[in-house]
Amino acid sequence: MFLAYKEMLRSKGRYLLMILVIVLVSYLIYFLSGLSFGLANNNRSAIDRWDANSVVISKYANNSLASSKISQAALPATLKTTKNRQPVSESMAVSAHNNHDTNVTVLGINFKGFLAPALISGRQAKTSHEIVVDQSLLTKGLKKGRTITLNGGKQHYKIVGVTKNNRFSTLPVVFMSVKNYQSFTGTPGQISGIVFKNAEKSTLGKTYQRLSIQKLINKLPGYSAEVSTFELMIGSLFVIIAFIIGIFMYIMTIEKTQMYGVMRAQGISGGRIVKTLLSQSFLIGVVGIGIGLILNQLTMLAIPDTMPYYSSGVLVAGASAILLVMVILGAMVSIWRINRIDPLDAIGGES
Amino acid sequence: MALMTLKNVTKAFGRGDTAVNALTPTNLSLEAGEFLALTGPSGSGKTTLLTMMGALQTPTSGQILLDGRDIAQLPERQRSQLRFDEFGFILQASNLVPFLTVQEQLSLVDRLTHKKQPERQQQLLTSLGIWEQRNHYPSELSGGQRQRVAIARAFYHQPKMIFADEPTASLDAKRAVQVVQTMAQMAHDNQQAVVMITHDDRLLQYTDRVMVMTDGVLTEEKRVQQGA
Ligand SMILES: Nc1ncnc2c1ncn2[C@@H]1O[C@H](COP(=O)(O)OP(=O)(O)OP(=O)(O)O)[C@@H](O)[C@H]1O
Ligand SMILES: [Mg+2]
Repeated sequence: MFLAYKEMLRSKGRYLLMILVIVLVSYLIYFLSGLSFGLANNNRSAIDRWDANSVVISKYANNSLASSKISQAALPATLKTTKNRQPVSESMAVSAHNNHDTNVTVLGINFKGFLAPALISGRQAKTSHEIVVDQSLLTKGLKKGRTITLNGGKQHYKIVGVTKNNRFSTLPVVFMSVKNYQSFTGTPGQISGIVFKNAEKSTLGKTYQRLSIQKLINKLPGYSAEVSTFELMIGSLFVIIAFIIGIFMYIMTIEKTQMYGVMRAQGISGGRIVKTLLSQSFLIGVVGIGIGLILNQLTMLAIPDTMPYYSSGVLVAGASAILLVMVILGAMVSIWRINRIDPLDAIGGES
Repeated sequence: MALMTLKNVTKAFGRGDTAVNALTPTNLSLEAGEFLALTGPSGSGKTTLLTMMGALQTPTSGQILLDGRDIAQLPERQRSQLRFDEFGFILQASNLVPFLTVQEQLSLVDRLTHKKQPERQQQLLTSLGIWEQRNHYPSELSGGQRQRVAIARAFYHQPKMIFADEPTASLDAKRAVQVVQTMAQMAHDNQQAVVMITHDDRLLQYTDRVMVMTDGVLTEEKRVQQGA
């Protein structure tokens, strides 16, 4: 540690430069993962709130809940509504109030079943034309007790309850009863799917198919492409940081070959030199990642609410740990070079 | 008993037709407190001999006894420990750690040996005339000062033997004499043996014994004048 610390103090510039690179990359990783997580959350939070096992939809619907049409009357007994088997309908719509249009996802559900959203204010819908909405819809003067119209129709829907963190395919959700939904869409007796709270065996035949909740989410339009793009970017950054630190450390190691040769000649073991290198990379890693974390916290304060940014402690801790490992891995490449240093190089030789 | 004894030590580089016999069978005996100078033309095998005595490389054949123990074929790990414990090195180029001050060069040794000897640091640096510069980095010292720090570093942990390969090559004549005199003084005071390679004949008078290497053959030089 003595050598590690003394060297860093003596060549501050180089180590500060490496710390700066780590700060930039870690900050970028935190920011991208926050954004990626936020966007993913925007796509799926309503589905996550269901806390369900799977959903049964029409076979032809190509894994899309919105495209699925199921006649309730034709359902076999194993698919009929029960406490743990609830109907759901889904479509996109345009909500309007005071000439402000907002895209929403409308979900038709049974407000007495397990799909009923958790409320932050108001009550669940009871009579027809009552709705519960996600709080992100409540802008431009819209609030509980006011009404909206849907898809330019004449019918007013009254907001009686508000929920939060309920978005579907990035849009705020408008919850209404299945009956209401059917009259709004003009599809009496029809639903999109049946949500299963628990794993159940049912005969699905040629008409129906079962999607796990994870698959339902993965098949949301654009979801998988978006998530994998972010994963690729973040993954590349982890590799890049290992390369940058590796190259930095390697060049510095080569520069110090003569000095290391002298140390080896004096009987200072290669292991001690390696230890110095590793403690240096650990130190710059911890400092760089720490500053990156602070910047991330500051960014979270500055980010507007409308931006889908979600920074989870577990995610950030995981990313930080991987970053530190990558920094140290990068530095470890130089071990190979250190072990090749011959104490004889220190003597005379090229005089 | 001699401190170090070489018995039929040889060194060949390469194999078969292209082999170079850098050192023919060589015998040598060195006492504690003895200052041996090694001279001879370039490429004659001086460094090769010195590095084998200093356990930096192993001879092709023969025995190297340190206090009666054969160290010739020890594995690198043990030779490394041996160099650390028993030997000191003074090299042509600066063998100082660039990011440590003069005093820290010595403290580094303390850290590795888990000892603390601040009095010895002061006494040694003072006797070499570089106590004033104790907080300087090597880059802030003159060549002569740097070599004196290297001497301090080599003698600090009180090794049995000191090996020096052209330690005065980068110094002017006056400085070179001072440095060699200091080495002789310290060797005699502490009963440490010194082996020094030099091309500078003017320095030989400060040593106890001179040996000449020619084409891998080591011969003792008759002293012309003693204690000039
Ligand atoms: N690692 C090696 N591989 C092959 N040959 C070597 C090696 N080291 C030294 N030699 C050869 O051994 C011979 C002696 O070299 P050495 O370095 O001992 O000479 P020297 O007397 O120290 O010369 P100088 O005064 O120029 O330093 C030379 O012919 C040299 O080319
Ligand atoms: Mg030489």
